[in-house]
Amino acid sequence: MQGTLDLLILRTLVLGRAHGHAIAQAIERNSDDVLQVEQGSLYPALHRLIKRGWISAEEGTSENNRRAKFYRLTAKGRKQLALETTKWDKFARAIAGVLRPADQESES
Amino acid sequence: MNRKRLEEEMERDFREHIERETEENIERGMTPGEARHAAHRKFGNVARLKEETRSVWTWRWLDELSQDLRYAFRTLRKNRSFAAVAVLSLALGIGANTAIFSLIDSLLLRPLPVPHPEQLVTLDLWNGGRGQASITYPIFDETRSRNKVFAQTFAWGGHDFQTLIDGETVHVHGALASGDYFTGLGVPAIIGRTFTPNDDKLGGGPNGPVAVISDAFWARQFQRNPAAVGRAITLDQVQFTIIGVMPGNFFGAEPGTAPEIWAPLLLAERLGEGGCIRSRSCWFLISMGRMKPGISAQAAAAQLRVVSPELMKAAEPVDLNMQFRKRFLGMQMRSQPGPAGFSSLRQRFSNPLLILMILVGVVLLIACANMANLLIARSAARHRETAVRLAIGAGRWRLIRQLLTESVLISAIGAALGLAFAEWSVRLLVGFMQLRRSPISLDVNPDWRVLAFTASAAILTGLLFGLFPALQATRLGINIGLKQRAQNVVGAPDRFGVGRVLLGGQVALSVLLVAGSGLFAGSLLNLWTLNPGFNPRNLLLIGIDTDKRPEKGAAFGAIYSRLLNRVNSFPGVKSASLLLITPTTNFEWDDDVSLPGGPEIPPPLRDTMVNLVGPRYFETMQTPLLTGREFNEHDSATAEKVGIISEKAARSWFGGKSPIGEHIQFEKSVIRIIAVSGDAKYLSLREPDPLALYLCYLQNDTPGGSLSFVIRSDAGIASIYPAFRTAVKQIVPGTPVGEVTTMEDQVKESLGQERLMASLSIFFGVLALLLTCIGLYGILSYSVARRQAEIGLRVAIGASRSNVIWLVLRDTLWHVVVGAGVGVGAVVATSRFVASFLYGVKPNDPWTLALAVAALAAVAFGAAWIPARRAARLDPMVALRDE
Repeated sequence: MQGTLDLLILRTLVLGRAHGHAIAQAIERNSDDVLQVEQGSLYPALHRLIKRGWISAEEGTSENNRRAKFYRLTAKGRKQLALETTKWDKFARAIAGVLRPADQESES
Repeated sequence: MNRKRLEEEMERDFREHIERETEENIERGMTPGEARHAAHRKFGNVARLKEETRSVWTWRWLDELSQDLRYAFRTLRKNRSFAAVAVLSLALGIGANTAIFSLIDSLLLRPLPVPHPEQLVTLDLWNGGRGQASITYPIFDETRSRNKVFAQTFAWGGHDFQTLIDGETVHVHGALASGDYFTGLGVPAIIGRTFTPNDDKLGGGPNGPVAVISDAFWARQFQRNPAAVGRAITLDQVQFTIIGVMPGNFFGAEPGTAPEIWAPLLLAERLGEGGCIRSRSCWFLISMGRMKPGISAQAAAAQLRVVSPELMKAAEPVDLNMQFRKRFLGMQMRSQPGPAGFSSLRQRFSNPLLILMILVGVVLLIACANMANLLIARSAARHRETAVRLAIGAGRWRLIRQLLTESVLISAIGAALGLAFAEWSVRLLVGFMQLRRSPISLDVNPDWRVLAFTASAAILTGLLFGLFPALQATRLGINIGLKQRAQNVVGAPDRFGVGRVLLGGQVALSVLLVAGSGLFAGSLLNLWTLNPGFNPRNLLLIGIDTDKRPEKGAAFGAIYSRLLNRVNSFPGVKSASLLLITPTTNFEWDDDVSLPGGPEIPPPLRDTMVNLVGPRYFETMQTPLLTGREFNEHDSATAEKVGIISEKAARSWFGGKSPIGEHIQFEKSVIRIIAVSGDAKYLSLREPDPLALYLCYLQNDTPGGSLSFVIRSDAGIASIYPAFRTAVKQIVPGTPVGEVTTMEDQVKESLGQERLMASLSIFFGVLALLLTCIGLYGILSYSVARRQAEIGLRVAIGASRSNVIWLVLRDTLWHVVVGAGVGVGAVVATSRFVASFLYGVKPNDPWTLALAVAALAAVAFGAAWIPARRAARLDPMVALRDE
């Protein structure tokens, strides 16, 4: 689910800049299984987002004084996130709407 | 993004990520080794992730393409013999296609080298059926003045000018063209100017008679001296001024012709074609128009249709009978898009060329099948390599792409070679199409169409023969591929495998081609060996052009008599005579014959082919005289009119009765028959012998004004021709000597189309056999190699040599039988389409079919024999130990 991963990355970066490993961990914590398969698949996604101009990369120093590459949300990315979130919510509501009657039926 | 920086950053990013993960794992209580291992596993395949990340930024396919190309080159270099066979067979296949296509292109497709050819239309007369391109001057004139859709309406007619070059009168091929010809085509002169409607006046414009010359004529006669413009030149005894030179690629609007001099149309009045301008029944012009801007081809055609009735009425010939009048007035002027101009060659050669295009297409298909087979065989040999590559993570699609790159590379190299082959062979082809009377000059230099055709042929064939083997090669599971060894021992002969189907198809197509070439060759042979009613060997033909001689009537005949006497005295001449129409040249003079006072001849037996001949004609031609005598000098203009008829005519008109002394009515004269000759060919060898009437040249005016000499002599042209020229110079000075040839060459030339079809189809047939032979040999050698163990086992448990040979040959037999069956079916289904090209053979001639199948069987077993023998000689110990 490439689109999901993109969305999760954007969502993670709303809180501020982060390096690759931190993003991976945050996503793992928040989303159960999406990144369970390969942490590394984060990187092609990050580069794709850079290319689209939704995030940017910068050199920085991490908490324990190590040099690292940090990723940060751009204005364009923020807008995109808002857009995607709305879309996603709509989608989720629609799915729920389809599934709920079935749930009720099986419960009764 | 910078390539190198990306690599470095990626490297560092990945490394740091894994380090952090490792540290965390250690904090969770793993040993350092475990921690690192777990971190790596969690991260995933570094190489693949790098590849994926890179592909975000780069055109990965371009990278991969260059990788694939390098790999393909390496593979080809390693298999030189495979590469050579592959490239060569494709070069021949693609080259043959390119050659035929470039002829089609230059004859049918290529627009004229003029500005905005899309605005040009060709005009013809149309009665609902076939169009007729030649029109009269009045029709052209009326069309020009009555239409509102053309910016220029122009017309031209071919004309051979007589001009004095180096003290000798020669013919120069040219055209009489209307004033808007050059403006209509839109091509200016490179030096000087072209003529305009102002110059196209009866008797000449303000500058008198003017002429425009071609670049070739300028180079030949004036060594490209710019001073040629303004010089005087005598054409047909009229003084002209050269006013301009056309560019080198300009040939007018008729592809295939190369006029060298253009003169204004209305000057025809002074050039011996005078009658033609005022005559309403001299069909000597071809016309075209250039549409005004904004006028569509449909609108132009519609307007012409509207004005057609009044136009035809205004141009109506005066001397038509009722029947012809109705037909004439029913015709309308039709305009059709004509960016490629007008060409009479199209009618003659478009069908043969289309058939040849199909033949070469079949050759290419065979070459493709061949390549597919070779690739399948080879990819089978590369099973293990493929399996290993799949196992270490290459995607199937990636492998297919790599294999396809290789096949397209092979076909691209083949196409490049093929282009060179085509360049050479297309000139050969044009040579086949030549007629001496109207030399063909076609621009066959490859243009973008030809190059695009060749390129797409290369790519398509590459994909066509590469796709299937690639799919097959990559389909096998990794396990099977790696365990292939086990399979070898029992190697199932996979009789219905794709390779086998391809081979069968190849045999079928080859049968089709070989049978086709057999039919064409048989037709040519039949024409070549039939008795034309005269003996063409050691017979010379020399023409002179007396159209412009001042002598008339008896004095005119006397010129020929004096020349003939002289020719008969040449050493080495057995006999000589005169004739108006040379047989097999497709020229005819025919009219109806009736019997004065006798019964009416039924209509189909009235139409008679007429020829004017001299004394000793039948002796010279070696056409037998069945009864009666030859013409002699006493059959003069003042004597009783006499004629000689052919046997067929005698039988048709007089039944069993002897016609000697009987009279026939021909045109306005009553003619007494003095002899009956054997039947002989007239128009062409293909036409059945006609009813023929021979008249003596001394008693008849010569339509057209010139006779040819026919000379029976063992001495060749080289010894007769100089003497003849001297005689002409002495007896009729200033008269140009026309074409010189032998009757044998003339007959050969009249079979140009048949020779073209026969020799090319034989060439393609042999090519097909060769390709099939290579294909069979390749696949059988491979299968013998693959079944080595099986064969070894068979020999070990007692199979004899002949058993083994049979084992291998059985396979071939199967292909040949099935393929030949399909091929024969294909011949039966398609050969009637070429029936009109055949002579004396039925499209389904069983002998030809049998011969084709036999030829194929012979080639197939020849190809199978070597692998079969190799199999039979296998040492079972060696074969089995090899495993």
